[in-house]
Amino acid sequence: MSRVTSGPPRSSRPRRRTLRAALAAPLLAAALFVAACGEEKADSSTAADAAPAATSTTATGAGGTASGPLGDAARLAAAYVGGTPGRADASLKPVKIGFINTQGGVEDDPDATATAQAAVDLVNEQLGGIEGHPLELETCFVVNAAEDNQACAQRFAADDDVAVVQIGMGSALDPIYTTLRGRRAILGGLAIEPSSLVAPAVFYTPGAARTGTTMAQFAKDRLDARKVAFVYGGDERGVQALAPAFEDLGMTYTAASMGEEGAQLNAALVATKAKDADAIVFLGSGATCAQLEKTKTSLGIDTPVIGTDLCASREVAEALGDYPRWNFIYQSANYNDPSNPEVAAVQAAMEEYQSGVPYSLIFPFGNTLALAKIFNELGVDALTFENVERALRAFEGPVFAGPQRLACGSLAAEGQPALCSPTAIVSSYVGDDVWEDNTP
Amino acid sequence: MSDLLAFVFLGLGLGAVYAALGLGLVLTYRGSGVLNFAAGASAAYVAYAYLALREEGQLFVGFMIPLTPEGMRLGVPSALTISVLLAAALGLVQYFLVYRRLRDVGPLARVVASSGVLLVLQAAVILQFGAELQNLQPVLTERPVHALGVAVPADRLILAAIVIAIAFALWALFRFTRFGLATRAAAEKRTGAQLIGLSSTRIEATNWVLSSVLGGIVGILVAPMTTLLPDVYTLMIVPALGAAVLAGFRSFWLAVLGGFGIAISQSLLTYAETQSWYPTANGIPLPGIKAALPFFVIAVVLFARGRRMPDRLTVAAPKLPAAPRPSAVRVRMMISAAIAIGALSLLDFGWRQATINTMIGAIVCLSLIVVTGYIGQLTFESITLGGVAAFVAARLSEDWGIGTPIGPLLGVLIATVVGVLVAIPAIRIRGMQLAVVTLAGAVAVQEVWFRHPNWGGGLQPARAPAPELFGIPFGATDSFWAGDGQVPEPGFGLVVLAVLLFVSILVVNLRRSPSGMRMLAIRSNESAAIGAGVNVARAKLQAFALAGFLGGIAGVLYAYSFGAIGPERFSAITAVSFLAVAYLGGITTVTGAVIAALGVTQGVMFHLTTSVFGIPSEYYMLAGGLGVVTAVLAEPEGAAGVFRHQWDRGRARFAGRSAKRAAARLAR
Repeated sequence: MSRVTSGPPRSSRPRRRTLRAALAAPLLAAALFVAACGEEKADSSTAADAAPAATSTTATGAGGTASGPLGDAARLAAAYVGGTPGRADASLKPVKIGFINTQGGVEDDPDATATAQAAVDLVNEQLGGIEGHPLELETCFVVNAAEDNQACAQRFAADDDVAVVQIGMGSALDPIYTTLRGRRAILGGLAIEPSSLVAPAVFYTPGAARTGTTMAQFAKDRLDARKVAFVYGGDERGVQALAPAFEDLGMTYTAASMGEEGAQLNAALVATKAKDADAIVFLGSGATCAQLEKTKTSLGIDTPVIGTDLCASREVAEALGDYPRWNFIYQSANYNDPSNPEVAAVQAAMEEYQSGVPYSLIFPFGNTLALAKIFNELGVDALTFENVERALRAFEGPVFAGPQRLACGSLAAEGQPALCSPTAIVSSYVGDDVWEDNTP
Repeated sequence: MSDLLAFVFLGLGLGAVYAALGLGLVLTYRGSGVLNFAAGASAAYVAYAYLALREEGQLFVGFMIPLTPEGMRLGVPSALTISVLLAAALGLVQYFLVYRRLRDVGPLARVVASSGVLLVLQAAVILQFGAELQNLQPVLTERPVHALGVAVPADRLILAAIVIAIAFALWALFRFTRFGLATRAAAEKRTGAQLIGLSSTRIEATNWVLSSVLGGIVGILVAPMTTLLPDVYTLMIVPALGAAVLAGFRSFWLAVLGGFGIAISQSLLTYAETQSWYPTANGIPLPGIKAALPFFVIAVVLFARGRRMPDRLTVAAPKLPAAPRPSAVRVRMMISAAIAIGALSLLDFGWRQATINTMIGAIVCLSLIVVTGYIGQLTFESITLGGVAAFVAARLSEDWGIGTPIGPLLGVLIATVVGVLVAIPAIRIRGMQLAVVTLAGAVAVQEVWFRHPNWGGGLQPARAPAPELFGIPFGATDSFWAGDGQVPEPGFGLVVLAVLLFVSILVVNLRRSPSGMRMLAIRSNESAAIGAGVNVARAKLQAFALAGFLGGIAGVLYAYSFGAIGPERFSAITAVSFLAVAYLGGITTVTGAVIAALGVTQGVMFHLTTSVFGIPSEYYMLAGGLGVVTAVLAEPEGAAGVFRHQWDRGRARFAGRSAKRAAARLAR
């Protein structure tokens, strides 16, 4: 009920991102003139301050092991990040990450900030910071898209202490790219907008086009699909981005919109002849996912569903009594599957540093640890724009709790030079808390 | 044929929502003359309140009041009863705190107030519940009903029946009861009704209660069918307005028919989308047609019915503040320019950007001043025309390699032409009807044009490569000789300032010219203007063309400022917001436009507030909504009117003292 609720850390909190996130299109970036956000200096994260001031690093030395309440999780993260385990020295100058995220408005993704902050806290508390310097997440929240994105980018462009700008969730990101071009390296979150695919940034997560390829390959290989029914929300652009991959593999498809809030779900299912299709590709989120499952059941439709991870959320599970037995495509990792030790480590860190708030965006955690790893390799004194930019692009992975292999720029021929991960993953829920990796 | 009938059947659920919201709009307009943009937000508020009662036994009144021990849930009957009472209270509060105090001002002030109420309600919900989806258990059964070869959950059909029953009850209430007769009398002439002993306050308050309760009930019943989000019903206001306009804001039955008609048409379009003959763009059904449907319906019906449409929707010209002849223009402009140059060259990047945002916003407001402030037409097309110019310029640049200055100039030219096209229906449609049709038109253009892969941006925003003239770049990120190396560079700001000064002089000269006088004559009384020999059609075409020109310039400048700009920047909500801000600044003067623009997103006022007071982002919407409502209640003529009155009073006082002194000297 309240904005931040407690709940099992494995669960996800569905967001307004919905198709916007999954399918590349913000629908309502209303510029209510008075309802916009500006620079969020007051809310700036002070992870560095969070570390006890007087406790200088107690690193166990190179090759030492992290300890503390997180145990295995910290050891796993320490091995990933490198550096010297222990506490960061709060008296040293912090290394700043500028973090831009939609938060506080009709579109609201506070979990992106929460997971990034948990990673920063982990680095400062147990992984020795960056060569002993505390890592600091300098946040800037976006309520209304374009103007606020621009203001955030200008603020970070003017701050020479900001080593890199990380994007959580967002839309209308062009002002960020335009402003920071040649000034700050950008590590993107989800490449949800087409312009992000060609931006002067790097994204360690796959984009919509690559998601489409994975979906299509899964449908062909695992479901032996020939006819596919696309049911989507208010935005046709998701289908536009994903459907060609199905055609390329010889499948035919029929697409119909259920309306942004799912008001025409029945009509869309009937219009696409979903009952007779080999697969339903569902581009919705949250309550519409629950609606689809209930409608399928009541109408006796047993066609397998391919959905985004937005449908593998706590609300959906609560509404249905369990997760729907669908095939979910994940951008980085299945955050519902604690059998993955890195996902378990994220859960432990979220429990420890963010009071176990529900979250569904796991990539900011992984991206922040990737930055810490890169910073450790570069050294604090070498964090110039050119060095960081070069290192981000040269980074081959893995990303903690994310893609195992990166090749930034390898998708340039497909018109997606900003993307680094060539694969998305498919995870199928089979019931009783069991997930199967079905990545084709 | 059975397929088509099946899709008619499938459209009934959504039709019930449109029809119910349309009925609510008819009630508030008929009862108090308010075009209530906040109707959807009110319905969502009540649905959230019901959720809080059901889940935690708490009453949501902006904050939570526990009603049960230890957060015990309330049952459906109790929660429903309390929610209905809350909805009634919400209607009363809105009426007595806001609309009753605005009943003697023009309809535009009430539209602005309702946009403020919308923000307040939406912000209250977001602050308490967040923006995530909420799972509301259904009140009605969802068991499927099989008919015409398809299955439909029963709740849709029950809801449709409930809405039809409500429409019947309202019809009977207004047709056969003293209250209905009184409301109809007051709607015709309030003072006359008061003379015969009717309490207009009681009549209006009762209609607000009815409307709010109706919206609340539907909000609760519909939420499980769609999704419960803070803005879920706000987005449905356009089709609901379509239903209400079709009903002439009078007939409950026509509102119901309109609501069902629009939804059923959208359902049929869902079927059509899967047919081979349906037009496609890049392999997908032509985008935006369903969203644009209300516009097509409204435009066709209104244009066909034209002057035969009744009532104060068309008869009453929007009551607008005075539009005084500009004076001391040179001095004012020189002072403004000096302040802007100082801000751009001496202050830091944050203030520079705030100044640029303010200046571009001022150009949008100038567009509204011409078309609304001068000629009295309530339209929402200015920001949409900005999108037209931006997307045309982007296409010219990307597809044809036509950059500055030709590309943007052609974009502005096309926006001007589209502005003229908007003027054609404005010759026959006027008043609030024009407001509604242009609002729906803003949605249509955004969906069908801006999102089209070939005509607009498709998957891409409108890109604006850094502008240059004679090989000299002057974009926001291009270095400027007097700059400090931070973005935005002052050079771009100075170009925007030059453009603003140019268009301000244009608007000032229009006000002073015979054309401007003719526009004011039309604003004052269209029939009298015709009688005096004013060519109304020509004057409207001129005003809309200039408004399109100004809106186009603003759109291109926005694109250059951001580097690229998406369709969402030119949404209907943005259009409503700009009308509100322009009105609050003072919609009849150039000074008012500049004052208004201080309050745009990330404008000067905004930057001042956020940097000095550090208001957390989640409170911006609430503060903004309260600010709009407070400002419109305090000074319905806008801020410029306040300054002008103060100035006039000061001058009068000074003149009075001078006269007294002169008289005293003479006496001596």
